[in-house]
Amino acid sequence: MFGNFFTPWKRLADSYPEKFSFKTYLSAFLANTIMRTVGMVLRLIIILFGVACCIAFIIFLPISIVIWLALPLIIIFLIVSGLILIIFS
Amino acid sequence: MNITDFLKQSSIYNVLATEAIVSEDFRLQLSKISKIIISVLVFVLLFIYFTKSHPRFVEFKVFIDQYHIVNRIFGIILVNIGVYIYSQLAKFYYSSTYYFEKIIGNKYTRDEFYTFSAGRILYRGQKTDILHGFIESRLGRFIFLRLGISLKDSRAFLSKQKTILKEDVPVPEGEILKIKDIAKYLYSTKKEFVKFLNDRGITDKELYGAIDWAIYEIETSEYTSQWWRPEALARTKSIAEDWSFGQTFLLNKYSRNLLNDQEVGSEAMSFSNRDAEIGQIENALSKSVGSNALLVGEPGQEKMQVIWSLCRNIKNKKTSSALQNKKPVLLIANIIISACKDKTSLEDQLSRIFMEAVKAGNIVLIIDNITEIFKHAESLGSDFINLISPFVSSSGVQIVALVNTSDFHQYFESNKALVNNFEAVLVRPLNTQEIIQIIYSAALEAERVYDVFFTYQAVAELANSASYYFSNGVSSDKAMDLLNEIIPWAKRNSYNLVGKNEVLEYIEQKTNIPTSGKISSKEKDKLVNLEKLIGQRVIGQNDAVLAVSNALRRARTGVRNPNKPIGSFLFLGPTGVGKTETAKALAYVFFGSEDNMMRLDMSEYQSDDAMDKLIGSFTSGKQGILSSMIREKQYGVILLDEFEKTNKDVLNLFLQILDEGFFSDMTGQKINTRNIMFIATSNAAADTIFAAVNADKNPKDSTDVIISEIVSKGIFKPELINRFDSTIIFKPLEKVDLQQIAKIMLMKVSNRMIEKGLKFDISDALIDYVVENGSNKAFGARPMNRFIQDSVEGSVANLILNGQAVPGKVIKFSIDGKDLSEKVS
Repeated sequence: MFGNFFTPWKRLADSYPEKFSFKTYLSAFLANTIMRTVGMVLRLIIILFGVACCIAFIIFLPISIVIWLALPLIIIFLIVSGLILIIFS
Repeated sequence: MNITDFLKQSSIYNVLATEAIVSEDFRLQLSKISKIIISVLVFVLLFIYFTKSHPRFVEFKVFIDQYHIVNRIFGIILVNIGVYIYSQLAKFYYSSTYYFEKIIGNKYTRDEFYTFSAGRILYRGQKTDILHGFIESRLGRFIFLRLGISLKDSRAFLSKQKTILKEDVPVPEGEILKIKDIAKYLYSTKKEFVKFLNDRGITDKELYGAIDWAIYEIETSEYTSQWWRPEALARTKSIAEDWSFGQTFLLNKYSRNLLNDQEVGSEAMSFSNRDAEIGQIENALSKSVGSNALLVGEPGQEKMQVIWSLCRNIKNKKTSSALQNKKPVLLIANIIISACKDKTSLEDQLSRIFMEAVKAGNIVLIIDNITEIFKHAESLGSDFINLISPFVSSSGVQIVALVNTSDFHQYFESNKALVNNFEAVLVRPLNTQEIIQIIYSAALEAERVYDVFFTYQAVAELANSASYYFSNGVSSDKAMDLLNEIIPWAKRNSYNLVGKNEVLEYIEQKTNIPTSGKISSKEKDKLVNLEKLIGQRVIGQNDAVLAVSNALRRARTGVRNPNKPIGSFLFLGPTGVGKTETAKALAYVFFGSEDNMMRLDMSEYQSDDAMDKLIGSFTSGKQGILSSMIREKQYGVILLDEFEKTNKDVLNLFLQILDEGFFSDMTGQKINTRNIMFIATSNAAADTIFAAVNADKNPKDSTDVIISEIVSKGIFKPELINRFDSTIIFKPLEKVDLQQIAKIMLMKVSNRMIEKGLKFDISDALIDYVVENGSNKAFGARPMNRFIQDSVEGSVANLILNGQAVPGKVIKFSIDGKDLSEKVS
């Protein structure tokens, strides 16, 4: 997973020359480094976003389960309190 | 068992019982109204809030405060939120407990006794009986509407029915009781119900069909509204799903992403019977090397429908692991062909496209009509198969190529490189029932958009007519085309309800083929008096005229076998006895004009290239005479003159045409001949017919002898003769017949003279003279026409030229021994 973290953004990578040439090697190396950095940054952002979502999920899941279970009671509460407001205001 | 006891056995009973208290319609209304009230009141609250400090609204504010309007509005909103939540919860509850009996292959089967729809009807009929339950239930009313029966009609019928107390529960055919079982039970036990349906022209098959469609509609709408199903949730695209795959800049120029196609997005269209083909494609694409498939099928949209279903599975994540997260793109052959005009650019672009696809790693490349690219490459001197072979055998890209059956046999079947790397998957043509299934969803979609209503009979007729009235193409495509064409037509003619008759009327207008929907009184007269009408032109051949007339009546009333030509006759008899004239008379009387008779002189099809001439040539690309004849005029008579003179291959072709009502042209496309009448004439065995007549026998009685002579001489095979609806012997004409014919011919001359202001006296002596000198035993009445031209018409022409015959004069011919002399008075 750590290897994947640094792979180039959307496989946009230059291939290294078969015959060694310093200039082309360097330009490919630079381009690939940029692409790997872009990939790494975007992945980091999305991982952080995912982690935030997980935390929110952990917090809100018990609350939503309670609300879900209590929904019939909530319906009764809403209707009764609504009627009280209409009639006794 | 008592209905209530039966119902109580299942856990669905509670659902049915609560549903009966608050009906589905009422719940939907509640949900809608509460939503509207909430939004309006929120708007009012906002208005009050923003105007409270405005000096112009002081009085209004006082009024609000005095009556505690804000609190009351707030109260109404709370009540309505409660109602809305209730209706939504009820929707989840009823929808989740719904038992799918038709779609998604009974996957929700539990240990049950009856399906939801059957339960609803029985629950309704607990206090009365099943018939009442069926007709009064929402589903039953809907099924009746689909059959074209109005609510008023069904209520009137029901009011006359007595209730049967303590009725037994119908016995199901399968493991659980379905609504179809109830319908079958009603149809077999309630005579009044059957009469009610039959009076409206509805058969039991149509009743079951309408039920099928109604269930399909309810279940698809239920299924698509269940957004909480895992498949429905899986359709939402995940974030960063394709980040680990590469980009395809060049490929995007020549292709489109199929996941965005409307056909893939629509869940209603997902219930097709293509599981077998999709399974085969998935298997082929799951191979480690050479994971490619070649989809072989008839020209048309059927192959693409399979692809759309596959893409839908990919989108719903309901596919094998080899296709998970894959991106199916359709490479559009025409764009490549128009962009790459020379060999270098084509090879360069194609290899770059394939390289890009391999590099991206998630591409399923779908090539529509691969033959076009193949042929284009060939014309530029490039070997397409060789060019793509390195990519085809790579594991980086999966390819599905679409190819027509005939092209597959011609170009690809023998190519080893291709066959090794591509697995051929044959797309099975759909049968009528499956086509109806496709039309189900398409018709529902059309109803929503165009505000029309189709009855079940209309939908069934669309599917049947597609293969019955149109000469070529794939039936499911034709049925869809018909559906798409009939909507604007119906709107133009202000038909909001499209029934069977409307469909037939449209087809009649489109093809000029009279459908059996409506027979006008004029046409009825014509049909009843066919013998008389044809007999006015065909003399002395009563048996032949009767046989042909009967066949036509069978065809027009829809009694004939729909999978064969309208009629097929073999006319045997000597020359000049009226065989061709019968065909012409038929075309004139029944098909409206002699132009509807197409003639093939079969003596022209003796050589080895006869088949190429008739059905077209594969190598030269030339269209065949027979195939283009039928494409142009798919309704009429085809006269096969001198049928015995053609070669054996052609006779074999007709063996199939007469038996199955279609043939395949050079491209492998099926051509429908089911609305054509074939008349083959032959003077084979004329000698035997003469011999029978000389022996004072009616040739009709010697039919067997004549046929066996034809078979023993090897002129026609017995199976070919048996394929004809009827073999009709034309007897040599007798003197009386010849006299009548001579009279008709002379009348024609007389009519032409009347146009020039001349009168022409046709005496019996003249008729006898024409018969004696104009006809002969071997050629029958044929030479008579020529004789009249030479003698009578020739003489009249001379009289006109020398000024004797001027308008108002009467021309009279007298016979003096063997000479004919003319007189003008």
